[in-house]
Amino acid sequence: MSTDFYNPSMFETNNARHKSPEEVAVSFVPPVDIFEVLSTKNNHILVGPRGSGKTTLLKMLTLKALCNWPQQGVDILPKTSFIGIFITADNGWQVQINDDPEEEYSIGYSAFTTHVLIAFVQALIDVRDTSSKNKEVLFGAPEELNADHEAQLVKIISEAWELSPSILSFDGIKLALRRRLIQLKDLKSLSKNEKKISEFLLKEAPYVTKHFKECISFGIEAFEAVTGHHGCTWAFLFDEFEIAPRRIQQDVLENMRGESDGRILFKVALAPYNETFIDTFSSHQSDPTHDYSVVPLWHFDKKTGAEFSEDLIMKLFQDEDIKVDTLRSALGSSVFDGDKDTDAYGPDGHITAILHNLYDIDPSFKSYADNNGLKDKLENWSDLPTAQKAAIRKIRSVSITRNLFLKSKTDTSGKVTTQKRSRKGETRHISYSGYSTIIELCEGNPRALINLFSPIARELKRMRQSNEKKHVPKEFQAEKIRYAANAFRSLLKTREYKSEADSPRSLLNLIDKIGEYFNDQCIGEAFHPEPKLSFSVPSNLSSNLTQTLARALNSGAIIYVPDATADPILNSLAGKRFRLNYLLAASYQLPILLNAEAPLSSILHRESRKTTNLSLFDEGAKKQ
Amino acid sequence: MSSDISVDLLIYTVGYETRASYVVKNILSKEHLALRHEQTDMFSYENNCSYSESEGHPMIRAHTDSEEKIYRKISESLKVLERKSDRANVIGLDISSMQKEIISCVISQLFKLSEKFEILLKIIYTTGQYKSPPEHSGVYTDFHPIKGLEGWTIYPENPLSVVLGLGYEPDQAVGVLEYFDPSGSWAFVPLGADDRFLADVKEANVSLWDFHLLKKESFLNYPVDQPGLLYSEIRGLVDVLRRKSRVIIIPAGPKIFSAIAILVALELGDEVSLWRASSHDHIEITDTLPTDKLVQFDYKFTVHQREI
Repeated sequence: MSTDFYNPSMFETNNARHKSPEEVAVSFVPPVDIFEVLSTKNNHILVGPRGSGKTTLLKMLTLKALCNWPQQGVDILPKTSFIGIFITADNGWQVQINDDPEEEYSIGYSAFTTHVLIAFVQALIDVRDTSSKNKEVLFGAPEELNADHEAQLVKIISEAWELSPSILSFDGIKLALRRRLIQLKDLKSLSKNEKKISEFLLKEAPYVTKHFKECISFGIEAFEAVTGHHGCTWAFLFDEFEIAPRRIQQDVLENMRGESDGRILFKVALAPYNETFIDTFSSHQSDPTHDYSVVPLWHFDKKTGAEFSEDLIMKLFQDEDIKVDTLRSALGSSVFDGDKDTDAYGPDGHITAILHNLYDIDPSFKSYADNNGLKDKLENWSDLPTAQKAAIRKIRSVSITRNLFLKSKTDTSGKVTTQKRSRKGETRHISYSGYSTIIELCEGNPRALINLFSPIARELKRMRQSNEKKHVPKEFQAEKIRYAANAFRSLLKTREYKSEADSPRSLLNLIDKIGEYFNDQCIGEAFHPEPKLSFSVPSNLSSNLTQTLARALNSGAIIYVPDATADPILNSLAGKRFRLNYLLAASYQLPILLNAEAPLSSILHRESRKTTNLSLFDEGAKKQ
Repeated sequence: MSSDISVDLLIYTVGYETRASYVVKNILSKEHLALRHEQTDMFSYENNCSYSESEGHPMIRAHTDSEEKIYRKISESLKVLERKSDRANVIGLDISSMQKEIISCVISQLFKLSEKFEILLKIIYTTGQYKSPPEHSGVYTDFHPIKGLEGWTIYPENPLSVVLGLGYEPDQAVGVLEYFDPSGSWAFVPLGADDRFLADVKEANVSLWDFHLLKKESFLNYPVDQPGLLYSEIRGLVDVLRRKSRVIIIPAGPKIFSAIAILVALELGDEVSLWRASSHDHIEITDTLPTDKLVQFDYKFTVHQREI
């Protein structure tokens, strides 16, 4: 399908849903290790928030995408040796697939099954249209799927699926399946006054008893019998699987756990928090007999997403025909960076200068520094034992943050205290520009990276064409950061914060509360060498708060931080640790750190303290 | 009567807004059907009720009476009218103070009735005088398909397009984009006689513009007093989009956008669905006064007009 009328925007740029597999393949940057894992012959559950690349990854496992992936697809194809059946879903058609769990048979379930069968027929079309060379890779034989095969296969499948295609071709079956969807719609209207829906459906549409997996198993067997290509594996690639009817979710998830048809694999994409998954898997956590692997698509640690992020940004620059030696040369340095400079902590080092300045303006830091002999240690940096150097390095980010956002103030009695600087709009966001901070803000999330770096790539191209050799100005970067952060905050504002409070509240209210707490930890009156920058959820979490945190997690506002030994997939929120998305760091003037956790209850029950600069939008964002 | 508009049957709302009775007092109609809102005993509600009662207009409860009752009542009026005339029945629908759900319900019933009766629908409204948007706090949004206009796709693998009407609700449009994650989005921006209205709409949807959530070309302006232009714009856009995608229309803002979106969704078939975005908020209810301007839009229902 041609989609040339779609204009990319903030929401559309990296939405792989409307792109053909060939289009996805051309711009694909494989996340480090993840794609290799996904292309193996195993069941997988991809877990990630919005924009984490789930659709792209699943679409890349289809035959058409792999065969059109420049260079690398050819290498991956033999490893996959499976034929992907891509099944898309979105909130727009969830009404159509509403399933009534009380009924044995339902129109929604049957509509979803029909959709899966259409996807299977599309996979058969992909096989038919794949070149002989690639067919040989897949099946070990270059034999064509000719018109006779197709007609024979269509005849057999149609009979089993209770279809009557007018044309004996794959397109003919697709047409018959679409006709079935029309019939199901008519049945929906007709069944409104029926008391026994299942009985009504059995009478009017006996195919409602068909289970998608049985239908596909039969289809595979027919394919093998007709073509002689035996032993091929087929993979269901379920995108946005949480939208599928719950019964189908349970079926598939159960299937992944136990004995299953060896010719069929399941790779399903789920939001981080999914109740069906929890219900199905909660009693089987960490069971070594699991026949599936969980692939998390988020990075709780900023280092793990760095390589993929840099690859993706380089690809964006490459697409604009920009050659850069390093990303630092394109973006400039960040104020938070420079720890690796050999003389950063020496007598003339820039971090030493920051610490000295903070010492002068921040009585609380001065007290900490005096108690810990910080000045002496900095003077003798080169002779300092490693452990002591590490302790000073640990306070670097929070000290830089305080130095950026605090100024000294003398009250009427002559006492010197600190006051939060009124850094608004771009001024605040400039602090988060430059390499590598601006990259860390994106959390390794492809959509966030593309949204933030596409305009930067275009600006860099313009600069290079005008022979400007400098990096992209910090102000320009800051403006894009502000756009991205504020757009994200706008999204959070539209989601519900379920609580017992009388007045309606949005998810942003909760996130602000957490952000304000962290803000106070970092740039409050008292200097905390290790400010709390994550939170733990109590075991007795209310149902309202569970739902709200689940929303926050699935929208990417909070990030799950698993313990070293924990499963990356959540079976419950209770007792788990989370942090805020780094994209929100500028909104709350926080360093990009994963520090110790505070109990969520302490955060929520804390007296609201007025902090500066915490409005929905920064000044400059609003226009009359 | 201050206007020369005349209809066979006028369906109008008895509500609390002063403008609710403006149309009924200013156009000529042989028959009337009043849809009474309940629990809105404020502003001009008593006066509006008294007027309808004194004129002897049949009245039904807008929210609690069933769709079937609305269908039956309109049907009864049409039967009477049919006997008197051999031309199309002209039904006036005053949407000035009518809630979107009621507009949807009435138009859907008229659509059904158009299989039995020849109907010319006149959508009539008076534009409201400018008032500042209500104060919003702690808003969040949820989404539901409008009953009877849920749509039904036979191309579930197609991408999703969203067509939005913009209104006063802060960031509601952003919520729409977040919820549906569409592949393409278009926003209709209302233009009123008073420039402050546009400024308020932009303020409520600041992120769409300032953060470039939509491209410039995806904003489509429409004057609220030119419904014909709006109809051709929405219909034209949705007709193109539905050939390549599933289309969801989410009406917000002036009532005329909702009414026309409903007509377009009914007309263009199941690949088009209509959803409601509900903002949860504590909004102070305010009165709306009419301007002296009446706007009308004529729409001829034809049998089997709906495409399958």
